[in-house]
Parts: sequence; C-alpha cells; structure tokens
Amino acid sequence: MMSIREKLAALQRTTPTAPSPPQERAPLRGLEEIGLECTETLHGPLWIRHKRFTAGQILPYRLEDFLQLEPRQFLLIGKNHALQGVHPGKLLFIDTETTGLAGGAGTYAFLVGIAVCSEEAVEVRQYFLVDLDAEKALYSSLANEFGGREAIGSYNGKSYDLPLIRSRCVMNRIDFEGLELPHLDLLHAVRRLYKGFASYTLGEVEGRLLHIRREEDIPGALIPGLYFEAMRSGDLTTLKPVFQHNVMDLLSLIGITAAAAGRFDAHEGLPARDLLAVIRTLTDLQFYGDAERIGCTALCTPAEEGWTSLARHRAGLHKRRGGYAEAAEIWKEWIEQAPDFSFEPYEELAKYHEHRAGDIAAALDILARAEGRLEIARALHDHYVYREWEASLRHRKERLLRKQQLQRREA
Amino acid sequence: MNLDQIIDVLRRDEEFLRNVTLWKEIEPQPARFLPFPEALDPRLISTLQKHGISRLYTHQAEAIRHLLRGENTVVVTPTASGKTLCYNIPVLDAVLKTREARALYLFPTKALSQDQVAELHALIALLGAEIDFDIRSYTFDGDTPVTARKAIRTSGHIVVTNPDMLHTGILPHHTLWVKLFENLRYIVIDEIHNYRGVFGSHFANVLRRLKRICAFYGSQPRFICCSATIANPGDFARYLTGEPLCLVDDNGAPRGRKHFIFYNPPLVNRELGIRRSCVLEAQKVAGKFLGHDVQTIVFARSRMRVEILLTYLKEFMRRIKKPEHLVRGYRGGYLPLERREIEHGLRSGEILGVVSTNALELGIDIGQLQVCIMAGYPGTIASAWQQAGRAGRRSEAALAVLVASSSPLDQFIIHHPDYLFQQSPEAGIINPDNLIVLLSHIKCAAFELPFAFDERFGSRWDGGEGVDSTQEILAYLEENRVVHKAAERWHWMAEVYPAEAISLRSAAEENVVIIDKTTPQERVIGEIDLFAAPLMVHDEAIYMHGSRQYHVDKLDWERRKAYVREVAVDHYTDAQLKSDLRVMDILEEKSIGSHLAGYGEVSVTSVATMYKKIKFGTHENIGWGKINLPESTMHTMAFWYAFPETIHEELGIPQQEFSDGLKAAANVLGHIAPLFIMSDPGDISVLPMMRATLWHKPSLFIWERYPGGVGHSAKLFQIYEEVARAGLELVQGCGCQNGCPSCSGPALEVGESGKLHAVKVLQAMIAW
Repeated sequence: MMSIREKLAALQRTTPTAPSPPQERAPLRGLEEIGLECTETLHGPLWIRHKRFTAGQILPYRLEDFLQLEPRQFLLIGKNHALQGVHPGKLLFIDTETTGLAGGAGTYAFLVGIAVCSEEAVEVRQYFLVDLDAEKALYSSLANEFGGREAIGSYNGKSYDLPLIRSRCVMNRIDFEGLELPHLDLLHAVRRLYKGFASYTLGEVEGRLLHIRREEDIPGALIPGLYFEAMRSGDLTTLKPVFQHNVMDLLSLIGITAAAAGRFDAHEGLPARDLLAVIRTLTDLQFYGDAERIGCTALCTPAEEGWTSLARHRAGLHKRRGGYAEAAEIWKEWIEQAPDFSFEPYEELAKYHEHRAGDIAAALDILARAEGRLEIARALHDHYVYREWEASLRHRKERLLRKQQLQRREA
Repeated sequence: MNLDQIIDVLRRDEEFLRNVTLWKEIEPQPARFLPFPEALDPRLISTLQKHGISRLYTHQAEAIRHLLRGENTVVVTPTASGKTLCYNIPVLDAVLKTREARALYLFPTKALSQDQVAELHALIALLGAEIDFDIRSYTFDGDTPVTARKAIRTSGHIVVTNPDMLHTGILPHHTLWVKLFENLRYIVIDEIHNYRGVFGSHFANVLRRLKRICAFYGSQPRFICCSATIANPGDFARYLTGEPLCLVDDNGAPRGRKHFIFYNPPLVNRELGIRRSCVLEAQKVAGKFLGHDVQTIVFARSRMRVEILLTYLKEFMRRIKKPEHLVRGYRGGYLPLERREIEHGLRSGEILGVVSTNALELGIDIGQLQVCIMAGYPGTIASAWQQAGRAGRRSEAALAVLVASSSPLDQFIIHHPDYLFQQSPEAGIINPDNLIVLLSHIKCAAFELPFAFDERFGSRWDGGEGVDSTQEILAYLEENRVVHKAAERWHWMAEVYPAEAISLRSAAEENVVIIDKTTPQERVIGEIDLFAAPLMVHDEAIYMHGSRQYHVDKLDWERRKAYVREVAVDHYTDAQLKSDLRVMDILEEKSIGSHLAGYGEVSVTSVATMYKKIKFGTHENIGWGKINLPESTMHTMAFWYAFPETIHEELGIPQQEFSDGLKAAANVLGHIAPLFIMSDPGDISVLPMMRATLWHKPSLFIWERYPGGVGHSAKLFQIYEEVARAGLELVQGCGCQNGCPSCSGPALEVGESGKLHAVKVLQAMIAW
C-alpha cells in the first residue's frame, strides 16, 4: 500500500519526497535582538516593539510642520468634511506588513505598525505576530490603541490595510469599532494633489515630496517570504529589515501629510494642472471663495497643458454661483488666449448674451467670429468635431435670427 | 407546412419510415394537484393565487413540505415541470418569516443562472404588493461590476452564482460575506446530474468548503437539489452534499404530446454492418423541417461534428435558396457575445436552426423550439431527455428524433428502447476523495480557515464522517511549504491564492492556445486542453473552428501553442492513441474460479502515434501521417478482468486468434460501459492485454482518463456482469456477419472471427 505522500507524488508525476520527521515548533530566536517586548493579554502573550523618534532625529522633515497643522488642513488634504477638527496629536498612522498581496481570508498581517506624534517625539509601536494563532491577542490590543484617537492616517489603507484588518477581526470574532474613524488615505490625497508622477508608490512619493532616497531598504516583494522562513526556522533576526522598513513607512506618512498641506498655502509657481487640482478640491468642498482667489492668479500662462481645463473650471465655478458676468470675462479671455480653437467659449458667450444680457446682436456677433475661426481650423485639419460644431453653430445662429426677426416685428 | 402537417407527411413517407425503428407517441399527461402546505406564509399563498397558481403540483407540494420540516430535499422531475417553484417558494417563505434569511442558488453555468433568475424576479415583483420591504436577489459572477458587489454581499437575500465563482470569488473572501453566511438558510443546487465525474468530484469539495464556512458563522443551511432522471438521484445528491436527503420523484406536472422517433441510418454494407453516417442522415432529417421554416435544434456529440454538420446545413440552405445565416453553430470555444447573440436570435425566431453541442442542453433560455434532432445518442439518457426537452417545452406537440450512429452504444440504445423509456440504468458517479481533487480543495480550505489538529475535512453538520487522511494531507502540504503548523492549528502560509490555479472543470490545468497565422496579424482563435491537444492539434491536423478549416502548421508542445492557417480541403483528420498499462496497487479483487476481477491504481503511458485523413461526404480514408509527440504518463484507476492462460482452449478459440477476440470484447465493453456509469465515452478507455504486467494473463482493462480516477472503476467492479450481459446482447443482436463498427469492431480490426470470439469471451465473463 502506498502512502499518501507516494500517491500524491505519483499522481502529480513528481518524485516522492522523503518523509521528514514530524517537526516540533522551533523555539523563537532573536526576539530581543529585534527589540520585541512581551505583554501578557487576556488572549495570551503579545509581542510589541516600541520606538521613539525625537524631533531632529533621523526625521526627513521638521516635526513642528506636522504638529502645527490646523484642523481645517486635514479636511483639505483628505477632501473629507469628517476630518474637520482633527488634531495632529490625535491622528493615528497605520501601516501593515502582510503575507501576500493576493487578498482573501488566507492573507495575514504579521506586523502592524502604528505611529502617533506628541510635542517632543513620534511614538512608534509595532505589533508582531509571533505565531499565526496569536491574532486574537494582537487585534484586541490594537483596538485599544484607537481609543481616544480622532482619525486614521495611512497610505492606501482604505483599500488595503483596513479591509485586511477587518477581515482578520471577523476571523477572530473581534469587534474593532476604531476602524470606522475618519480616514486620511494619503495615496488618494497625493494622487489628487500631485499630477503627473510616473508612479505613486510610497518610495516614489517620499522621494518627490520629502527628497529622500532610502538606503538598504528591503524590496516589498521579499517581505512575505522572509516571514515564512522565520516562522519555519524560528530565527527572527532576518526580519530586522522588515521592522525597519515598516518604521520608515510610518515616519514618511507624517512628513507627507505636512507636505501635502502646503499645497493649499504655497501655490504660486505650481503647474496649471496641479493648481487645477487644488482648485477642484476646494470647489468640491464648496470653498468657492478660496477656489476663485487661487484661480484668478493662475490664468496667466496659456500655453501650458491644463490651462483650458482651468479656464473651464473657473468659468463653471462662477456660473454655478450666478456670477455670469465674471464667467463671461473668463470666456473672453479663453478666446483671446487659447492656442487651439474650441467652440466652447464662443457658445457659452453666445448663450450668455442671449439669455443673461438679452443682447441678441452681440450673440450673433460672437457666432460670426466663431464661424470665421472654424473655417480656418477646418482648412487646416478636417476633424469630425469641427463638423459637429459647425452644425451646432448653424442651428444656434438660425434660431437667433428668427428670434431677432420676431423682436423687430414686435418693436 | 406546419409541424403537424409535416408529421402527417412523414407518416406516409416510405423512404423515411424504412429507417424508423420506433415511433413512440408519448401521450399527454394530466396534471395532479395538492393544496398549498398550511405552514407557508399566507402572503406568499395569496400572491401566488392572485396570479393564477391556485394549487401546487403534487411534487412541488411534497418537496415544500419536506423543506418546511427542515429536511434536505432532492427533486427529480423532467424539464418544464415547474421545479423552480420547489425552491423559490420555501426560500421566499423563509425571507418573509425572517427578514435576515439568506439563500444561495448554484447553477452549473453562468448563462444558465441569468435565465433562471428572471423567473425569480417576476415572483418577487408580484410579492412586492404584499410586503413593506424589498426582497433582493442578485446574480454574482465574473460579469458583476465591482461597484455592485458590496451591495450584493451585504443586502442580497438571494445570491445566484455558479460553482466556479463560489470557488474562486466567494469562499476565499468569506469575511466580506458575513451577512450571507450567518443567515444562510438554503443552498439551492439545480441540474445536479451535471455534477458528475471530475466536475462533480470538485464540486462536492467546494460544498465541503461551503459547509465548513457556514459552520464557522453558525448557520446550518438546508440543501435543495434538482436533478434529471438518473438511476441513483438520492444517493448521488448525498455523495455531492455529504448530507442525507429526502427524494421527491413523482411528477405531478402535465405533459404535452410528444413524438419520439428512433431513426437508424440505412446499412451501406450489410456484411460489414456499416451504416450511413449519422451526421449525413441528421442533416437530411433536419432539412425536412428547416425547409418548411420549422425551428429546429440539432445536437451533435463533439465540437468537430457541430462544425461538420453546420457546413452541410449551410450548403443545404444555399441549395434551397435560403440565407445560410439562418443556421448557426453553438458550442464551447465561441465567444460569449456571439453566444448571447445566437440565444437571442433563437428566442426571437430570427435564427431558424442551430447546431449545438450539449452546451445548449441546459436551461439556457432559447425559447421553445419545435423539433430536436440528435445526431447520435448524446451519451447519457439524462442528456437525451434534456435535449429532447428542448422541443416543445410547454404543451404543444413536439418531435424529437434520435439518429443513431454506427457506434455500439447508439446501436444498443436504438434496439433496446426500454433503457430510455423505462428504468434508466445510469448512475451518477463522483469521487470527492480523489487525492488530487482533495489536495486542491484542502489547500483552498486551509486558505479560508485554519484547520484544527483533529479536524476531518468534509464532516457533516453533526460532526460525523469526514476525510480520514485530512491530517496526513495537511502534513504533506506543510512539507510543500504552503501550510504552517502553529500552536493550535494549521494555517495557510504562502503568497499564492490557491483557488485561482484550480479549475473545477478540466482535468488539465494547462491549455494549448490555438493561434491563427493566416494573416500577418496573428490572433488567438481558441484553446484546447492539454490532454486533447495531441489528438486535435498535432502537426498537420485539420482543426475546425467556426465551420472554417485550419491546417496545423506546428504544435509547439513546450510552449503550449498550436500555429494554424486557414485552408479549404475536402477532408478532416482523425488521430490514433497507443497505450501501455501497469498495475500499481490492487484495491479490491475477487476470484471467480480461475478468473480474476478487480480494480485499483494503475499507470498508463500513452502516445499519439498517427493520424488518418478522412474525406468529407464519403468518409473514406485518403491518407495518413505520423505524429511525433512525447508520450505522457497518467496515474489513475482501472477495472480489470483477467482470464486464465488456457482460456482459449476452454473457449475453443485458436490461440493465434484469441487476441482478436479479447480486443473485440474490449471494444464492446468500452462502448457499452458509459451507459451504466454515466460517463462521457472519452472518460474511460479500454485496453486488452494478452499478458498483463502483474499476473501475465490475458486481461481486459477499463481505465479512467483522469489522474486518480473519479470512481468509475469501483462501480464497474460492482456491475461488470451487467455490463458484459448488455454487451453480449449488443453483439448477438447485431445483424452483421463478422463484426462491424456497431458491435465488436470491423473484421479489418478484429479479424474474421472477432465477433464470434467476442461472444465467447463475454459469455465467459458472466458464465460464473
């Protein structure tokens, strides 16, 4: 009779492996070397590494810049009213190291790092899973960290770290209300406020925003394998770089938050598309005054990419608030400045003259100018859009002429 | 002419009737009713009554009664007998009584679930007037938009999905489905007879995982299964679900008049027993209906036959000056969009005829067709009834024609109509404990929830049974570094997502991609599983796709790619496989005098050796070529029957002719066995050996073509005498003289006395 091992090997057309003797779990080595300390909990022992970084110590930014952020700035960075009133010291940063990116119930977070800031220092606590059965101790203690906090800060935590923790809590039947705190996901914020990065990995972003390059950082792809190896061998010392990597991630998040807040203060000299991003955020949050104040100064370098969108957005902003005359100014400017022909400002202006100013002659005049430009444009390049515009222009013109006739007859 | 008029004409058509061996009119059957069970929610009863359902068919009432008592139930009734109400009523009743209640519907294919759910939605819409909350039912499959998924997870009362999605998309993410699993009351599994063989063995394990997760969330859902008629529906549903079930099989629904015609193509060569091709004859019969605009479906057994028939029927349409696009092909390998378009065309009547593989035998909504023609017996009795059910699903007269091929199984069925019309002998067989299948799903299960050190995978709600070797397999997985033994449990510890790499449907995990090089811009036109590739896309093969012919320029075996070029030739190719077998382990064995029957583990080495070129129309052999591909070895299960070395003397067969007799008997058994084990003919192979490796005696092997086997061998060990007896009837009942393709094989292959000897060999197997 063949053993299960031999049968499986035959079925899979491989050579059977020699049966290895039943293994007792190897005793863990290197806990102290890493700096892990044991705490007894209701659900068994829990290993945590505490680290404290004072201002000026290795931080690639000034901690005051972060601590001085005003409650309103979190709302701006996060584009979320729920973040209004958050105090820097009450923001809890979180970052996990996991057993894989595949997701699903078989993926574990084996290291959960959190960071909070006080006047003097950044406190980092790293919760480590010394045994895959020890999740209950880890998550019930981690839940306590969230008590008294006002918000969570993360990098892609909304779609990665937090769903994973939620899933682990379901598996271990733990209630974790803190996970529902308002969430400042810096990946979303950076994507929104900084256009045109080749990638938005944390490494790329900290390089751009904080001007740092990590030396000797462990590639993320190797991390799950290192943990598996450590679990099998019992030797944790190889995980040292992983703890270090996690700390650096957390410290970067604090700096990135401060840097991103700056986008709303120092916007002069920003490329048009980045300014537009700032203005869009303000508009979406219904801070129209701020949006217009910034937008005003921005319409000066027409050749730049994104300029048209900016003009469109600004005009739309006025229109929405009933500032038709202001919008009309922007459309005029658009016609004067824009490098490429677009029917949009002509059409908008014609509508303005017809419906708001009640000046049909002016509207017809605008359309006549558009007709001239359109003819030149078509001569250069016969694009289908031009034909559509032409049809729409003709239609509008005929209607205006009929209306003009009617008015004359009435007069 | 309408269908009734065509039937009248056919009844007087001498030429047609010459080939008809049976014209059975199945009388209409009146309905039998029972009142609604009193325990049902009154709002549900009044809604149904208001919309014309004032009572239930007997089988519906019986099934619902069982379910209301909390008993798992399997309903076995024919197509269009109102079986969906058997599950929709108890499920909606549960939701009406407990708003949180949930149900999971599983259909074997994605397309099928979309159609079945329409009926459910209609019923829910009617209920809407009676209740103050929404009952939500959603389809969750690969096409469900990501944005809709969250709502389905949390608020769907009824989630409709398929085994593959449950396997890869739901179970591995069970923490997102807490609401569903905590409140799951019913698991509905429709068309369970489809879950046999490899697919069924996988599916049974997916259900083991599902039950394990339900237990984790504290629910114990009941199973509602529906099946076509098979010999062992109760047992089969129990193997599948691992739970005891109540059987409901007394159909109370009415049936319309149905004509069932058995059509045996004329003999072309009486001595050789060769008949006209069933493909050609099916095309001729189909023409009688298509010519008069009667919507007709033609079923063919293989993808290749679909393509050949389609070519013929398009030619026919051109001849009678009708647009050829009125006839379409339908099979796996066509793109989903194309399939949806054809389904729609059939419903709207824009498409007059369709040639399909069994892909259309399931409940995919193509509306009511009037005529069904089967070009060859579809392989199982359950399939034959389902395919025939495609014609006239409701009450009007309908006609089904079974055109027999020369194959022994077809000839057996056509001469023994009782197998079809009386008691079905075919039993659904699965082997959830096939080691490869089991290993795959224990991986997935470990990914989903850690295993306790005393856990047995697949145990019942009450904790009973379960797989003995669970812990041993987990230890093996630890050695292979995918699970890890922690303080109290086995945990998944690898970066991969195991469900992704495990296909429920095909034996091989790898496919060969078929690339068209006709134009400079190469494009992928299809794929084929690794096991079939040496036969279908070897170098120089003619591969057919979309009724086009492609010449295989090169099969790149290492890279799993076949390069093809479109051609127009007058032939197709047919490849031959050569096999050798070694017995590795005997699982059960019995001596019958000096004879020996048994089954166990074997190792089979096969290699595709050569191919023949067969001309269209005449089907004559016009050439051949060699195939140079590496041999492949499979570790699997086989049934065997060994004779004493002196058997030829006992039977009075000259020694040099005995191998012919053995080969002839093997041919017969190989063709007749699928009738009893409900397998596809391609799921098993026979191998006669004059000196089998272990015992050096003349032996017959029937081996399973899936690594590790799925239970056919064990079943054959139990019933081989019955199979041999049916084989004997086939050979003795065949009109040929010296053996033909329809019984023991042509004399060319098994010798002049092959048939005579086969009878003796088969008799020897049952004489004891």
